[in-house]
Amino acid sequence: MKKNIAENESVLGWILSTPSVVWILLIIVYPVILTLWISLHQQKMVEVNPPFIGLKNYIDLLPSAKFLFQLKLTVIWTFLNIVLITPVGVLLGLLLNRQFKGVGILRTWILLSWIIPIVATTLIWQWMLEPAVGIINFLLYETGITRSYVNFLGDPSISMLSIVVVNVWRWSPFMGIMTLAALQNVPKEFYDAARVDGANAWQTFWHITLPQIIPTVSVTSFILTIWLFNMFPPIWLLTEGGPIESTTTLPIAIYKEAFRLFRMGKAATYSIILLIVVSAFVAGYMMLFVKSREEVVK
Amino acid sequence: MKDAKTIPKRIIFTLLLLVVIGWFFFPVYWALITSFKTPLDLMSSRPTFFPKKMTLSSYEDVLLRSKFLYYLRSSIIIASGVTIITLILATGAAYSLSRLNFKGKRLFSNLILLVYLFPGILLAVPIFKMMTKIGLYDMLPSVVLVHVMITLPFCIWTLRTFFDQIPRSLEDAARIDGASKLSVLYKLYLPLIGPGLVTSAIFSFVASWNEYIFPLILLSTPEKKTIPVGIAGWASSYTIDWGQITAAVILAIIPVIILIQLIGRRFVAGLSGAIKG
Repeated sequence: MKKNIAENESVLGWILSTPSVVWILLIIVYPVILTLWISLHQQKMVEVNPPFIGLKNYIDLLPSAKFLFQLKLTVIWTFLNIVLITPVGVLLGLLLNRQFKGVGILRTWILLSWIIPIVATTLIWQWMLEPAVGIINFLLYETGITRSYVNFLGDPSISMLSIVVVNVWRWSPFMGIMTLAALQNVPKEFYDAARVDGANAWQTFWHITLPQIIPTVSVTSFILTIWLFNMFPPIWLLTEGGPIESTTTLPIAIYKEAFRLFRMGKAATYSIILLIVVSAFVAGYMMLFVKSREEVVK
Repeated sequence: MKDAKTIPKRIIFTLLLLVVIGWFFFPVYWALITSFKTPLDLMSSRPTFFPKKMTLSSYEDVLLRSKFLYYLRSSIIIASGVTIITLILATGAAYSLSRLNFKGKRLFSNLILLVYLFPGILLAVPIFKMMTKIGLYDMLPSVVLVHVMITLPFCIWTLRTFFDQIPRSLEDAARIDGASKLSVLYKLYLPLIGPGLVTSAIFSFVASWNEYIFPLILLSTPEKKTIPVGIAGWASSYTIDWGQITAAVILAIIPVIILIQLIGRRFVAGLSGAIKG
């Protein structure tokens, strides 16, 4: 009977969730397998039968100075972003947690810089950082902070710092909103108790607020670290990995190999290595996290 | 806190607030102002913060003398396709995760989490190869297929929390009246999760509208490009017209403004819930 099928929870559950599962498998799991396959071949553009070359791509790439330099840049990019986004975001969260006129509007509109298209972000900042008529150069020069106009995105010695600043502008509201959510979950009684005990503002922050928001901040930083390590659009749009390779992180290298140099095999090799690095990071975090939880239980 | 705020404390707080507001909102204000400036004003070495003369000529350039309307068409087609497919898939998945017990439910939940963490750039090479192979390269549906994967996790999660909030007694009552599980889903639940559907729809549309990587690698015909890919190209052309670029940027931001205005609060709640969940 037709009715029975629709009544069986198990069957209905499968019918309703299968399309999403298939979609995810098709767009994520299968491509990963395909990437592994491509990385073992000397694939140029899209030949049907590229020659099998085993691990040659990996052997060529891993020990090369170029790869190690790109790996270093990726770590620097991720590190600089995290150490700036986390404190700026947490401060923002603390600020938004206070009561003042217009705080309600600010709490949603603060997301603006994070939620506008990444291309809008990079175009706006390219315009502001423009070397000849850009507003930032004008302001820095007029206030005497710089002696001459700076080519923020075109000078290899500060290009990395410039793109980090733009990315901090974009991502700190995300951290701020997460912190705010955690702050609003702190039971009010905690603060009442602290006041009864005569704690000052600093002690209250250190012993009550901070321990309550650390779990959220650390999970958010963890996810952000993964995203940053693999982040492509802001860097590509602002500098295309230049000038003279000074911002070519691993995601940029993947794109250049694949769509500028048309070496799909090499690009796939980069992708697999990046995937392994990220997986190792996730596994490490999980182990640490589980371990600390077990210790708490003991 | 009840202790009276001293005046210096208040001044520091206000200053900090002004710095924060300036830092986060000035760049967008600057783009807005630039888009209304006259060409002469634009190239001035002393930029004006409140231009006396405003003009719409940059917007005219964008809308009448560039490929922007083509980009707009692609963006709307892709984002609408993504929204419709996401809503259909996510409603079914969210319902089954919230209300049904079936084998593999946990695995499915975890699979969704995996997507959250999965970076787009790693998929660039294989997706490009797949789409070329099945003949979807340079076709708008190829981008839709990929974008649905980006929007599904958030929408499944959002809709699931909406299903969870509906008391089971409602369903039981309908069931006693002889309604089947599927008709309960359509007739009872769908109207009740309306706000969740609106949230998911706006989110999906904006996420697809904003996304840059996949239209970049999957579409090559200039007239098929989406707004982000199209206008990004203007900044690397030989002569850069910043008035035109900022006008296009402002136009591209409009859907985002609508999102914040309509579902900002719920979106923030969903975001922080998704991270914890």
